[in-house]
Amino acid sequence: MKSISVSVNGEKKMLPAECSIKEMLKRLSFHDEWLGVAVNGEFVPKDAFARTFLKEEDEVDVLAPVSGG
Amino acid sequence: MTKMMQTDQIEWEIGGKRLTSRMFIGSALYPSPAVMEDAIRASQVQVVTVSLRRQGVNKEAGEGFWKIIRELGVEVLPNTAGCHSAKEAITIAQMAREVFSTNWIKLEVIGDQYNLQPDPYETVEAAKVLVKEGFEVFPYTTDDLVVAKKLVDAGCNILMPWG
Repeated sequence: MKSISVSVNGEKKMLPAECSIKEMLKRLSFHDEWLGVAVNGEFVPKDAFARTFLKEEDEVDVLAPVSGG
Repeated sequence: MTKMMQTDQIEWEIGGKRLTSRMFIGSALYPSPAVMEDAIRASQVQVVTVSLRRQGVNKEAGEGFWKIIRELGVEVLPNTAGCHSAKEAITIAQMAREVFSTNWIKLEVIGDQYNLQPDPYETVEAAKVLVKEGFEVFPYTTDDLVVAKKLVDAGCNILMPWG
């Protein structure tokens, strides 16, 4: 199976080609109920996770709620 | 004492929401989540600031914290802490709006890492975009009057001068 290399929160990850954000979150065990996602610095809304497919060398940020001032 | 209690009950409006408490409280730097929860309850605040951070792979970071805040039933004011450009701040604000289900955003674009002074140029640029996208922008800004006017011209109804 062909795979792609993407950066997820700064870590290199190998994923299958044609991998959606929804699939990526599942494969990397992110709990996606309260997550925000950006790909290459662009926000991706949750309702687009299943139809947004990652490409080689994409940079993905997965953010979760934390305390802040 | 009675007078103070009466004053506390006077409603005021900010960012389209009616509140009785005039204090906002941060959720960072408490010794434990339990102390944070106790402090929020004791202060009787209605607005708590929160943030977003990268989540470690295979971890449930943030879920415990966010569960506590949700159960307190307070309004949340997400921030864009850690951003150094308008573009970064806009992306974080868009993520925060979805995660926290609020159009409020405490816009922070840092210009100097040593003293955390905000970058007025990037802050104004980000504010213009975010207001157009329907956000209620609470910009963290300097005490510069001209910058303040530009933020108001951009559509900000609230200013949060640093200091």
